[in-house]
This record gives sequence, structure tokens and C-alpha cells, in this order.
Amino acid sequence: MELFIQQIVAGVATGAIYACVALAVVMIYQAIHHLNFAQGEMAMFSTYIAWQMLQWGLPYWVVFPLVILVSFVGGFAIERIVFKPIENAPVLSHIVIFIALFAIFNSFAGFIWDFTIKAVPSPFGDGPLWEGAMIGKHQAGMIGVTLIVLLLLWGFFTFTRVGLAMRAAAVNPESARLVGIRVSMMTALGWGMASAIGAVAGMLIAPVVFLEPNMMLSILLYGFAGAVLGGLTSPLGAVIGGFIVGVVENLAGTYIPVIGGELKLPIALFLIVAVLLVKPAGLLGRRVVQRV
Amino acid sequence: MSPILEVKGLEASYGDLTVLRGISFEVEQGGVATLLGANGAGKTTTLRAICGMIRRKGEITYDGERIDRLSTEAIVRRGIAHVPEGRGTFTTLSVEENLQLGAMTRPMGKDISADIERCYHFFPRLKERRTQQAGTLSGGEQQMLAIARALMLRPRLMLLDEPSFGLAPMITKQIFDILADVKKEAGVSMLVVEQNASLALGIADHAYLIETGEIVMAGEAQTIRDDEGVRAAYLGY
Ligand SMILES: Nc1ncnc2c1ncn2[C@@H]1O[C@H](COP(=O)(O)OP(=O)(O)OP(=O)(O)O)[C@@H](O)[C@H]1O
Ligand SMILES: [Mg+2]
Repeated sequence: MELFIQQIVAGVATGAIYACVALAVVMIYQAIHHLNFAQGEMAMFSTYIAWQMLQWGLPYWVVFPLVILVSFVGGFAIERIVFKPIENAPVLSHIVIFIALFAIFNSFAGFIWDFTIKAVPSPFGDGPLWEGAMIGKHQAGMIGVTLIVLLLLWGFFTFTRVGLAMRAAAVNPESARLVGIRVSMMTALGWGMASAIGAVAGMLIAPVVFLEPNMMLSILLYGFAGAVLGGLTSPLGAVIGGFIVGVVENLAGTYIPVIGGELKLPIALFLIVAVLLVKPAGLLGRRVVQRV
Repeated sequence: MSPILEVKGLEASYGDLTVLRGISFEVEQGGVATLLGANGAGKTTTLRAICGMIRRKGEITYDGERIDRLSTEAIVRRGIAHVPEGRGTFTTLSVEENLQLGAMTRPMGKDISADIERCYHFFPRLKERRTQQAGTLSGGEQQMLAIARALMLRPRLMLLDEPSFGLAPMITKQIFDILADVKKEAGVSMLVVEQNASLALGIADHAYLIETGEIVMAGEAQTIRDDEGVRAAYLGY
């Protein structure tokens, strides 16, 4: 029983990271209807920037918001510089650019910081949350920070004008223009926010998996799995999907002997395929119904 | 008084297909003009060209300023509200959010809530459904919402694309009464595209007949209504 609870807790903790990545993916998907393959590499790069600042001796809680800000600006700039010009280009052009971004971030990280793995300290400390607790300090921190991020985003989209404008632009870009919303600016904002959320995920997971250029590869796949599971059209679904993937991954790795550590990733991919077969729009996703 | 909207030699095409072949017309300050024509004549295209949703050539002057090079967002900010064909509601957002979006370009403040109340006064049905997703409204209710959203801009010029489309005769009459009110009280100028020609000619001061992308007849609404040819082709009596 204890092992079971421990595995659930661990699953929720990594699930929190998948939830963040899934949310970042959905955010960009809503705006441009493509999956950003480079999302993970962008997050990895942000994490390196954080590591570098820590090396320079800046305190963690200065670095954290600073990196979020830098990542926001970076994501915003990527959209403006790279994606705005190909707004109406065919799918293939987007895919090519995603792959290019992926390769650029990956090799630049290796070039600047070399490929050896680096330890990133946890701002929450090591060990259990309290004497004999089944949840570690860092795990609790990951869950807590994620919940705060989710709450802030929810508030932003529900109560602010810009949040409403972003939702409107995602639902119906043409009508959004007709009420005076600068839709392409909303897309860039979405990129900035996705990049910032990815940075949070990267910084939170780095103390667990160690920092290296390929750190986010499997995490992005889990994030995709979460997003697809929950439904690419539903941010809430993506978050729930991320948590489910985290828990399932952990339980399967522990209790199904043949799976073990090595087969955990295929489990995530299996989940994607299975959900798509049964519910093509994901758990909370909407199928587009056109009214005529 | 100079017209609020003056269109000169407007051309537009979709790829190789030329749809507008240099049309010219105007809407007077506080006046209502209607654009009549058969299906596919280019009415919707004309409205879309005016507010920059498609590429266009020609001169479009609004309130003394050329707007034919401006983006849709910039044109809307100048006070032109477009009620598009097919209504263009934000289907997954609530009715009230749709209305708030109509006022997106206005400074935030109390008068926005007051205007929402005013819309609810015009369309009590929308008030009952204020928290409901707009996509779940009936076609007629969505049309009301589209018009209410346009009013939220506090426009000086409204472009209406078939406001009676899909509405029961009762509701249609209601909507045209409201439009007449808006014209009289707020002095909003309008360019109305309608299949229901007698209804449109009832509210309009001026009318233009458009055929395959060209204006073939223009004049006072009264004169057009009395024209034999128009009667036979559009009014059916
Ligand atoms: N997006 C488009 N791509 C290609 N051709 C189009 C497009 N939209 C309209 N057309 C063509 O342009 C012509 C004019 O269309 P438009 O929608 O302006 O007609 P309309 O007068 O509004 O007709 P209706 O009364 O049926 O709404 C039609 O022949 C139509 O096929
Ligand atoms: Mg039309």
C-alpha cells in the first residue's frame, strides 16, 4: 500500500510537469493548429539559461522569474521572426521550421554548454517533506508551483480583457479581427506564454532528470500524450491528461514487471494511439461542429 | 454634408475569378443604403472588401479618410462594425463574452456594462441566455447576438450582411425595427445587404442594384421600389 501511494505521489509530481508541457503545446496548437515539436527544446534551452545564471551566483528565486520573462520574450520573438512570415504557408513549411528550431536549440545548447550532464539544485531541498512523509520536498514543490501556474493562467483567461481576446482569436480569428483584435499579436502572445510555461516545466524537472541537451525529449512525448489524451482543443483537458499520463506511467513501471523502466515511454505512445482510436478528439476535446 | 462612406472603382477577385469590376456607391451621414442583387452578385464580397478582409483595389473613403490600405483591425477601430454573413459568433464563448468582445476597442469602463444592458433591453432573449455558449443558440438568436455585438462597438457605420437570414418573419420585423431605432436615435449610418428586398427598401434611403460585380442601377429607395424591372426581378409583385 505504501509503495502504491508513493508511486501515485511520484506520478502526480511528474504529471505536473507533463501537464505544463501539455498546456504549452495546446496553447500554440490553439493559435496555429500545429504541434510545436520544438517546445521541449525551447524549455531545455530556458533551463540552461537558468543554470548559467545560477552559476553566476544569482539566487534561485531571482533566476526563476527572470528566466520566465526571458523565455516569454524569446517565444514571442520566435513567432514574430520565424512564424509570422509563413502564417498561411502549407503544413510542411511549419514542420520544417519546427524541426529546424529543434535542431538549432539542441545543438546550440550542446555547443555553448557542452553535452555533459549537469546537476541543477532544487530550490525546495532534498528529502521528504516532513519526517516519514511519502512525498519529497521537491515533488511537493513541483506540484505546488504547477498549481500556482495553472491558477494564474485560469485567472488570466477568465478575468482579463487580453485573455478574453486570446480566447476569441483562437475560436474564430476572422470574427476576432472584426471586433478589432490584432489576431497575429495574440498568436505571438500565445507563443510567449507557451515558452514561459515550458521554462517552468524545464526548471522544475531539471533537478530530477539532470540537465543535458536531450533532457526534454521524452518529457515532450509525455506532454504530447497528455495533450492528445485530454484533447488538443481543451487546456483543462491537457492539464488533466498530463497528470493521468504521469500517474499511469509510474504505476505501469512499478506494477507491470515486463514494462519496468525501459518500456515506460512506449506506454505513453500507446496511450495516445488508444485514445485516438476510441475518442478522436480526446477526453475533453471538442469535435468541430459546423453550423450552417 | 459629405458621405460617411464613399466607394470609387472598387475591384476585388478571388484568385483568377474577378468578382467586383469597379463598383462605386456611397452611404450618407446618418443614412441607410442597401445593396441588392442575386446570389453570387458580389454583395458579401463588397462588404468584405470595405473592411479589409480581402484584397481590394479602388478608393474607399470613410469620414474623409482613405481606408483602403488599412487592416481590418484598424478599420474597426475607426467605428465600422460588420455583421458578417453566417453571423460569425464566438461559438464556445458565452453570450455575454461575445458582447464584451464587441466593445474590445473601447476603453474599459462602466459604460460598457451599461451598453450590454441596453443590448439586453433590445434583445431580452439574449439576457435569458447570457451565460450560455453562443454556439448553442438558435440561428435567430445568433443573428440577434451578431447585431448586438456590432452595436457594442458604438459604431458610426454598420455593414449588415443579410440580417434577416434564417429568421422567422416576426423576428425579422423586430430586428429591422431595432435597426430603424438605432439609425434614428444614435444616428448610425448603415449599408445593408438583403435578400428580402422590400424589407431593405423599407429602411433604406438609397439603393444600389449589383449584377455580376457591377452596379446596374442606383437611386432613391423610393424610386427603385417603384421601378417595374426591379419589381419583377426582386420584389416579386
Ligand atoms: N472565398 C471565395 N473563393 C472563391 N470564390 C468566392 C469566394 N467567396 C465568394 N466567391 C465567389 O464570388 C462571387 C460573389 O460572391 P459573394 O459571396 O460576394 O456573393 P453574394 O452576392 O453575397 O451572394 P449571396 O446572395 O448568395 O450571399 C460568387 O461567384 C462566389 O462563388
Ligand atoms: Mg452573400
